[in-house]
Amino acid sequence: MKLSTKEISLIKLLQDDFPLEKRPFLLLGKACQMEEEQVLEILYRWKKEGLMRKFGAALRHHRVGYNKNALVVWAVPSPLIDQVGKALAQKKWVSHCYERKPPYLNRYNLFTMVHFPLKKKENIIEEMVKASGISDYIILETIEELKKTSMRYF
Amino acid sequence: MDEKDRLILNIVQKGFPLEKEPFSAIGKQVGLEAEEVIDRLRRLKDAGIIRRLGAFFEPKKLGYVSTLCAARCPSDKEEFFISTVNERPEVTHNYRRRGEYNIWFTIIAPSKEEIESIIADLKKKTGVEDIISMEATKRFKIDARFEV
Repeated sequence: MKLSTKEISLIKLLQDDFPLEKRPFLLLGKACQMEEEQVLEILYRWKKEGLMRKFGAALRHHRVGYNKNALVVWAVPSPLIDQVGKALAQKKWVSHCYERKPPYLNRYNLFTMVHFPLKKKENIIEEMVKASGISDYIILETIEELKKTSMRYF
Repeated sequence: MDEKDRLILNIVQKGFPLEKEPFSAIGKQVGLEAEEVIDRLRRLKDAGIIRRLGAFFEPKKLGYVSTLCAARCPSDKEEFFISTVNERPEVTHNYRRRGEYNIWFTIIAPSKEEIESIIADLKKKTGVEDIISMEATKRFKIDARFEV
């Protein structure tokens, strides 16, 4: 995808803190020589094209009650990967669900990031085993968050 | 956090209004003036509940590649390894996990070669040799929204 210089400066601006002002898109536009309408049009287009995954807020989840998380990795036979991937993706506790290569420990190819209040852990894993039909998995519990930032592109 | 804060947080996570006066639009949904929505968002940001408000881009569509790395790091090297990894701007997430591989981090860079050279550099600087890189080949979900 070819981006114009103005579009690249808009991307850079949107990686900073969004202006908490009455007309934020007007301000952003001014900073990269665009009209307010133009900024909004571009954002709609980026969202439609998938260049922008999301516009909005990311929360620190441990601050809003989701105090535990774990990476749970599953050994899924390759013909079943789509079916199992989709089944686990439907669970609301799962924020990320990917197939990765090479598999972890040459075995675990489906990766799910799971967030939950502590006391619900057993139930949630049980529910995931049921939904996936896979019983070969490892829970890689998060002990400590060492870094969490958003990527700065360009 | 009160009920209005919760409502606002759910709205800004799900569907931040892409319109000229987004905070008035949010205000209408929750029964507040734009100014008050702005004040509340500023407070939630200052309190650290909101990590970031803005756009989240898709690395692939911007020509970047990403990977998940896992390192088997001996405890006497941990501190240095973690600071060396965290120093890199291409590393966006890093976690200590229970398991055989104990340090897990993500790298986003403009090319596969660049990712490989970052990993090689980390190995060389820290002496931690066992770092595996697992690239996503299929994505079934990415949606880190939390109903509050």
